[in-house]
Amino acid sequence: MQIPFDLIVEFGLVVGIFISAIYVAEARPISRAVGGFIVFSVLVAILYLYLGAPYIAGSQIAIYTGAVTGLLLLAMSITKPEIPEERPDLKMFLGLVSVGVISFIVGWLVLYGYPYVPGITYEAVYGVLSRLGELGKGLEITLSNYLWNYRGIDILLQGVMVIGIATGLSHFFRREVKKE
Amino acid sequence: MTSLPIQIYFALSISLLAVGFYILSVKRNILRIILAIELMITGANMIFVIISYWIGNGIIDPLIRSIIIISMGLASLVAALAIAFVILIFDKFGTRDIRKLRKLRG
Repeated sequence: MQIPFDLIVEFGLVVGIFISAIYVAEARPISRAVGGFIVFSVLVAILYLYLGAPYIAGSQIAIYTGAVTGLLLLAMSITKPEIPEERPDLKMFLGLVSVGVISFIVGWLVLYGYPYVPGITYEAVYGVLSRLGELGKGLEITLSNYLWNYRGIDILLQGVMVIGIATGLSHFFRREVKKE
Repeated sequence: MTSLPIQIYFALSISLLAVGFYILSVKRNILRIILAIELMITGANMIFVIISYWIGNGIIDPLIRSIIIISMGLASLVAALAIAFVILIFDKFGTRDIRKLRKLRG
């Protein structure tokens, strides 16, 4: 099966935005966090451009990548860093890689394993109930139509689950702060 | 229309809000907290865009575009004001750690 190019671009944008947001949260010198924020803003602007909103994309680039980042760099230059900059260790890299792998697996399951991923979707409920065959005719169609009104909640819950796993991993891999 | 299902964009927006909330609740550097506020505002803007894109079948309402551009301007205003506060706090207390500002307690 040939994967369409649009799908690759959109999936790459979504994963890139998520990973850059996690990098903003966990990058140890604050200057690298600002760099991650620049990447994040550019990716969000490309996403807006892709969705057909060029003015919002231009404003995103001008305001976030230009003004806000410039102000942050100015504040960084005025206020001296208290903690000397440290080299990022292997744990930080492993945390980011694991978050990316989990996001990729969940996205791949949502995209390609659609009827087989547990969730409240019409095809999933219809497929499971029609295989049982003992519940009588018409029940699977009624239940599927009823649960179809709640579509999307399962994918949102899966997204929240990914966030929970990501925050847990970042807590697990983060460097311990020395007590004063 | 997009190739990805629209729920993934919703999940992305909510994840941005969650990451911002995580930074706000865990991190101590004031500049990182400003970055978290900007992340959360971006997530909220993205929810607006996605909902408008979804309702309009691929066309974003011009009112939503105007609201988002105004919201971005206000976000830059918030960032500028917060950075001014950061500089004042650094002048007065000599720190960027938000938990060291215990003198502000009554």
